[in-house]
Amino acid sequence: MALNQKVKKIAIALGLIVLAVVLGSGIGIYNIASGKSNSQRTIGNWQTVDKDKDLSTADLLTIAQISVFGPYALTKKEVIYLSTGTDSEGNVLDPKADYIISGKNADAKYWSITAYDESGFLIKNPINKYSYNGENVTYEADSTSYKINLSGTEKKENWLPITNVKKAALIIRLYLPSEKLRENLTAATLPTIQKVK
Amino acid sequence: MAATKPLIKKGIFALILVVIAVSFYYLTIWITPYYVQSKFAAASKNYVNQPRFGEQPNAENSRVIPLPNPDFLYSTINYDLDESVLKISGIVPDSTYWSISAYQENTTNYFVENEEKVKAKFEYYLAPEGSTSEALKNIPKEKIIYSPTKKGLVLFRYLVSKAYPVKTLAELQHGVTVEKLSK
Repeated sequence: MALNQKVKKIAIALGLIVLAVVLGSGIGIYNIASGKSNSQRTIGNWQTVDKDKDLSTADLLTIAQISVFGPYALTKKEVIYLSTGTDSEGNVLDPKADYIISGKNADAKYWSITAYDESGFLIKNPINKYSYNGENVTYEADSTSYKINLSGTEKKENWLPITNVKKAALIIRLYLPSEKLRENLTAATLPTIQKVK
Repeated sequence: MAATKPLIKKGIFALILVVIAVSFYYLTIWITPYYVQSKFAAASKNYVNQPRFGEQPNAENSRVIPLPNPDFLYSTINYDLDESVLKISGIVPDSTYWSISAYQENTTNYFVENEEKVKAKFEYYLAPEGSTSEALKNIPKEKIIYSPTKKGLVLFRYLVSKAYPVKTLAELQHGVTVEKLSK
């Protein structure tokens, strides 16, 4: 009877240890998958690395998240990455809807806006167009502003297709940004995304 | 007194469980980047210490590493500095973005230079941190890249532009050479 009791106790203890291992690892995986960390900063509907932090000095969770969702990123002096999965109203981007991304030429050596699917890969589309950048976007009459049509259906100009995907996300890359842009990255300096249909 | 002893035992055991859970939480997030890098390294296991030249990413050819930039041509060197120091050299385009960056085994970036600093040609020596290799004697400091880990990845980015269409960039891209120097 006493031996049975002891075996039972050991089994419960081992079970609790396994549970602690599973719980600890599970929360780790959940936090990585959540994409949220203390090194993040939100500007309007865009997410980027916090002003006082950088990828090379980020916390373990941020390093893990970057390795999974966008490995081999560079530090902020070289490039600023901004991501979003929502429009400017904060609503999740609907691939069946039409959006207009309105912005201005950024003060960086090279900038681009790229559309990705739910797994972070380029979206297959009939015109093989995945992004617009400072060189290939068609500007408005002022030569500085642009409007990009983010949509699953064909548009005449600046069409950024999001065809046949469940979810869409956008990434802005600002390569070699000016110091002024790095220091004053605000919602006003970033493109807006308005649902039009 | 006799009644408090089992309580203390249970309390210590509960504390151990918390320590185990917290340890495994940190172990999971610490090990994940190493796992990711090892997965990518395994995909290019036949190219260790050799350059691998990628095509311009599109929806079909770029489904391994998330968030590829479709405006770039990428080249990689999956490195292992266990037995050698690597001499990496090539040509830099003059009017489009170009960079060489290096990532340690947990995928974090520890080195980057771009075309604004490096002109015309580049030559770097990649060595493990603290290396006293003879191969590095008489090499200027700025040409040596010390890797914090023996394994890692060197990544080249070439921006496709009007001045540098894919064909022109591909010629520069394929001009990168890697030479193994004795340690």
